[in-house]
Amino acid sequence: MAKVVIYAITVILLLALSIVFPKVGASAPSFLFLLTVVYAFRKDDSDYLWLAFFSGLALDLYSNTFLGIFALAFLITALIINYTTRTFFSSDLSFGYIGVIVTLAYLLVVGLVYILNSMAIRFDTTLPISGEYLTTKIWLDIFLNLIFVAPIYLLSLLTDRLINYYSKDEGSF
Amino acid sequence: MRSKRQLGVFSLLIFLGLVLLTLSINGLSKPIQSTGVQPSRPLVYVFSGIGNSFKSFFSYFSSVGSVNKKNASLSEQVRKLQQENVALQQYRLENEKLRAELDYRQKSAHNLVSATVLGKDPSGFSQNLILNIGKGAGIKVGAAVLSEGFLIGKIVSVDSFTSKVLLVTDPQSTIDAQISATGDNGIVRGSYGSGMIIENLSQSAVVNKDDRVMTAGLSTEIPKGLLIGNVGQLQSQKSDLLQRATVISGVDLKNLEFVSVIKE
Repeated sequence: MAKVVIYAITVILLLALSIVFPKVGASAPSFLFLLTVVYAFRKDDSDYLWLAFFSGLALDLYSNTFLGIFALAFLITALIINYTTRTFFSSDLSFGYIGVIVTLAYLLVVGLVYILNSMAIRFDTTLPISGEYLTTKIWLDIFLNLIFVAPIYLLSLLTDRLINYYSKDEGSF
Repeated sequence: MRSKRQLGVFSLLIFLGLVLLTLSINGLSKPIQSTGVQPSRPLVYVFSGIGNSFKSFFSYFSSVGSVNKKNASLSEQVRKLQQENVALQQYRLENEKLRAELDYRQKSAHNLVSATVLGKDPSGFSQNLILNIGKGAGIKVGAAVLSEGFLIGKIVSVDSFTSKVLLVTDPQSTIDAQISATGDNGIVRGSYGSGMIIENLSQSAVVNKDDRVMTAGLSTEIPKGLLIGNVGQLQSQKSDLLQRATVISGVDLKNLEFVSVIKE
């Protein structure tokens, strides 16, 4: 129970921070995306899948897209990150390594969102993102995300500590 | 065992996501969205204050940087005064923006409702604003949103207490417009690179720099005669069938704090 509450608070706080965080040009860091990546990278149980799904769903609720698009995109990206990390890599944590993962994961999320939107607009007339996005804005987005990986990584460690602390309390009752 | 469980969770969530997507495509997801937004709303209010502090924080550092170049031995007292000065400057700017908005409201013939900007689209995929007024204030989808007399966007979704604005600079945004001086009609479209572009102007149209661009009023929601901005640079060639030019808004769309919504 403590775990669910702490995860929910973390997601809502990062969503709120994403909404009000000042923009640089037309770009801004995507804190919920970073949370998804960091957990997919670190966790070995299924927690990261739930977290990825609900992080995406939180973005869906406040975004101008079809409900479920970010949820599915984050979920698939998280699974791929986790699978590739566990299967093909065994190196220790390094900034360069995480930087590559964040960059590739962001490109994957953008691709998935674009594909899912393209599939969805066959039933609707609006197009929430455009091809123009891919060429003019994406690189600044990635740069800003790379800047904020470390704070989000530290936040994930803090969240785990809190979960361990309160889980012990729950156990003692 | 663990990977089997992960696969089970993944399949369940994929199914749930596809159900939500299907509901959304068929326009049945509004109740879910409204319910889902409610728990986070109080935190969004709290964080909008913190977000504004970020702006003060960054402007504080930029001002300290320039002062350090002039005098490397700033005392702690001077630093405190700088901080106060930044805060006062923020208040002054906020005051000026409020006065400008109020001045336009008094002159305008439209029925305007004031709103505060709570935040922007968190996904970064589109250029939206979230306002602190919704159905309760009589806001409807499609209503024009103004700042200091300039059209900045239109309402694209409304719930009980908040509404979402699609900015004119978003590539999804298209607005029927005309050049005020000549009456030539075109379409103003958002653009990531140039902010706004007026296009589909006929080759015979005379387009000059700084010409005013107004709404044409061809759609029912946005009234005619609202100022969108001024013509910047002509982008089309003489050989092009239709002309296009950049449009520069009179307001800074990245730093909007107070806006007005036309309530008809």
